[in-house]
Amino acid sequence: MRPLSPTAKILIVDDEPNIVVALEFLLSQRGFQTAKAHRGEEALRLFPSFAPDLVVLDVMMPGMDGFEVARQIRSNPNYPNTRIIFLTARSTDEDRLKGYANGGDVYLPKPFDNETLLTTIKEVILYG
Amino acid sequence: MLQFPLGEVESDMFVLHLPLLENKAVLALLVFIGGLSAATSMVIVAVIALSIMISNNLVLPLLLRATVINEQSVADLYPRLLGIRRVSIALVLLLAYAYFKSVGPEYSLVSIGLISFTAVALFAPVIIGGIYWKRATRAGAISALLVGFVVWAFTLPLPTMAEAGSLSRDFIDRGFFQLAFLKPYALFGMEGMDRISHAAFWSLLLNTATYFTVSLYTEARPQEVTQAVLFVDVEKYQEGNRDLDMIKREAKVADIMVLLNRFLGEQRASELLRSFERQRGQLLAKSPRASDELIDYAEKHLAGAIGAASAKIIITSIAKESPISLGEIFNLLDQTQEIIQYSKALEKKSTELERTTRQLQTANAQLQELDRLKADFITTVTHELRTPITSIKALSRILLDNPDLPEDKQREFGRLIVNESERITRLINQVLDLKKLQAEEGRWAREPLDLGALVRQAFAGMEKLFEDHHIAATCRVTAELPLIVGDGDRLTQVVVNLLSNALKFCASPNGVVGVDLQRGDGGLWLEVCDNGRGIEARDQALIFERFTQLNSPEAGKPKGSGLGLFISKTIVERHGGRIEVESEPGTGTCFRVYLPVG
Repeated sequence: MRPLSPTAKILIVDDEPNIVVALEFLLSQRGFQTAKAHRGEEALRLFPSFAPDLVVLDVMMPGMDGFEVARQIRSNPNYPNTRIIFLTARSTDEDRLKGYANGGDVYLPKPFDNETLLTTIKEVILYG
Repeated sequence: MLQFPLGEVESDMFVLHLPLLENKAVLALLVFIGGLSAATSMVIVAVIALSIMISNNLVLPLLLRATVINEQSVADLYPRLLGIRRVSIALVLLLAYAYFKSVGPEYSLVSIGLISFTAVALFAPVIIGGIYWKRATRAGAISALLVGFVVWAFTLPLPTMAEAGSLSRDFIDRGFFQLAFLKPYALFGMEGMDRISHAAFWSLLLNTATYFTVSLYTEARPQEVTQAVLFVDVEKYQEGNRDLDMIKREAKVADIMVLLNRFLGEQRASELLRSFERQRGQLLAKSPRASDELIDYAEKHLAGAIGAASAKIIITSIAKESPISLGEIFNLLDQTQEIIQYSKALEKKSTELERTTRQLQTANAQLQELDRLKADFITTVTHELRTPITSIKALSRILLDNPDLPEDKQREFGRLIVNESERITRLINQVLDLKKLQAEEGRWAREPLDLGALVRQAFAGMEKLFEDHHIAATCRVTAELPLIVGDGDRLTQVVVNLLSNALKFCASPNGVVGVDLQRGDGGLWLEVCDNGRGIEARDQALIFERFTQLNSPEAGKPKGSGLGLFISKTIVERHGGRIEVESEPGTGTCFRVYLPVG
């Protein structure tokens, strides 16, 4: 398995530590540079230093939720090209629409399939 | 006055003294004879008038009221009437003589007359009030008269008799009962008026005051009210239809004829009846029922013979006082009352309906809220299930896809998968618990519980676990605590939940857990403390909500379902208690449960 894009930086945001463990393993195995955050606020703090190309974002988190994090990213002119993938257990159509309305590029439901996730990430990074 | 110095000759004797002064003996004799005959006839007229008053208005009514009236007793009445009048004449004469004897020649006729006038004046307020004031009551009138006459008696006749020598003069100077303000000629210290004015002033003042006060403070009987209305608004009712009269009477013409014959004599009675027939243009023989007019007519003429009061009683004895009178009035009143009650009932009904509507609205809102909660609950539960499944799925896929994974990674992921599976199991168990909790709510035991024993037992059950984790756990229970009432199993569940939380979150290594049970605030306080990382202030309120979990990615400890504290809180509150948390981040957490005694 060839790394998709060794330079791409991905920020993993989820309050579930075990999901973060799995995502971290999967993405770094493919050669991505990763950083992790367990809270929305923490993710936004990491932005200036890490400057991720893509954010894998959970929605239901204590404190600031994923939608709000996406809104903040979108409203910041410093990160116009950051891609956002929502990865969440909230899977109704309503949630999905809300995700896109708040600036998400892709909305993936949990539980996810590892290969599907990786393919989606590749597509988003390569074709925007 | 020109001929005699003041006080030398009594004013009554002026006319006699004048011819004597001029030495006209014959004239004086004529004056004397004239005076004597005039006085005698006055006495006769007065005594007869008084005796008729007494017999017609006092004795006869009393007699009629005391005895059952029937034909025989009415027939016996006339001869007895004469007897009563004779006795009355004798009595009046005797009384007059007695008064003359006791007051003596000290007082002139004029002053005796004035004393009587003062007494008669006392009727004025009651009569005037009776005519113009509907609120006046019988009790008011009677007490007013009594008070007035007592004051009058104390201020005029009694001291008069005393001065004439038939009573001790003592009370005139020192007051009745030695009370200075009760001097008969200076009542309440009022001096400077002549005796008659003084007595009239006080007796009338107190009489009037009593009349109004008592009337205002007593309730008139229905009959009094009717009479008052008829009397005061006499113009209104007089002209109207006779049918509207409040009191209607019925009698047979024959009965009325018998009465008139008895009391007025047959001749006068038939004259009267004929004149009535002529006036009205109707023949009495034609109708056996007497009209109201005839009854009134008969009563009026009887009154002339035997007095108004007696006439009324006698007429009443033959005339049924009709059902219309009070009965009909009360019927009307009842109907009005019914309508009022009915509209009140309607009003009450509509208030009830409004209340029911409000209750339904509230219930509906509650149901909608419940529905929303249920939807929320399902969303949350599915979310809570999806989360561990997500981890399990991703991690197991990694294991499957990477057979050449280093052994330590394999082990780590395998352990995480097991942990997450356990989490699902716990979640399912607790959701079932919660369901059971709600389903069985009505069936909770209410038994006396020794909470101390319960806490010690729960603690003993977990002691091994604490030991395994090298946690220093202590349990202190104050001796002789009062019993509480509740469900032992549920409360054990609370204690175990708190202990598991403490076990989970206390510091590692060197964990410390302390349990403390003691009395306070009229109940018992259970405290479970750990020395863990603590809970941020903003999270402290959240932890009792369903599915709130404070994740600790750093610690990587096994997680709960997020239902434990919610269930504990529910149980404690159903026991009338409360649960609170006190925590200092970095230092530790104390959960405090209060349960009331009794």
